[in-house]
Amino acid sequence: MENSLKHRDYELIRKIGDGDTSAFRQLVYLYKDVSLSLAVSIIKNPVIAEDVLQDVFIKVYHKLHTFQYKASFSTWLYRIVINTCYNELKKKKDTTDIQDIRDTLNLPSVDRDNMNEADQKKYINLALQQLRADEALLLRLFYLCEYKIKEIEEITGFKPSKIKVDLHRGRENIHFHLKQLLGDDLNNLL
Amino acid sequence: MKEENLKKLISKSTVETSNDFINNLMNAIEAQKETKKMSFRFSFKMVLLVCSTLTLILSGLLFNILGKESRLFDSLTEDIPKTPVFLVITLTLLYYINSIIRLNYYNTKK
Repeated sequence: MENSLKHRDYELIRKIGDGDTSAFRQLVYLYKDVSLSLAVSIIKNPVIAEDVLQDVFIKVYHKLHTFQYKASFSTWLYRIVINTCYNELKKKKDTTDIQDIRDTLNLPSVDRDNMNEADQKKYINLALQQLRADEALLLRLFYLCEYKIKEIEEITGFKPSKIKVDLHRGRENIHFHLKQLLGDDLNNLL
Repeated sequence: MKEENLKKLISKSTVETSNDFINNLMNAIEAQKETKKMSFRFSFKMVLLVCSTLTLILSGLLFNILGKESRLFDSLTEDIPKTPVFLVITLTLLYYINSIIRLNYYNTKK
């Protein structure tokens, strides 16, 4: 499965090299949402994160000829996304106010007993956005992208000990923030 | 929280891009390509113009000097044949043009 995905990406990259822009469109379509999720883990504000992601994909388009067909494309892409986001964070030192995040996410005043999937998503994302960038990023890489510690080390450049510690803290903190947001209704999410 | 519950939760945390994300991206890439081409075309024309003007001035000046009967350069100018000098200038000009065309070819290929 993993190999077929790898080959699908390699094929698309070769087509892009031959000047096929629709192949690039396809490649972006495949990775845009997970890339944005990782970017939001670091930058916190989804609007700014999307702008950064645009720059990332433009960079990827121009640098695609330097891609070596050894690692998977996703690993290469996510490394660029993460590095660009951390650089952006350093530049702006933007500590987004939690109220801004609430506004961006447009949190609903929902009947928590009957939360639909979209509402659940908003609460989960709000809880994730209250975590430290490293914790949120590692949780998403581990549980959403289903990467192993070794692969996460390759993508982020973090040491395995840091990855394990931050994952542990992330697990505790997300539970804490969800509990704060939802109280006993947290069980409705599970 | 159990590991499987956490996995279920985080799997719901995908943030979707706006609907026009890909279109905006492709437009931005196209716009960048166009700007790059435009700036290259402009510099290409400028270099070509400057090279031709310089070569014309240089060949004009040389022929003027070679054609004049000057006491200082009399012995020197008499020995310089006009045709080979003109040939060298023409070849240099052609070499310039060839380099620029090659540069243009690689630029459009990129």
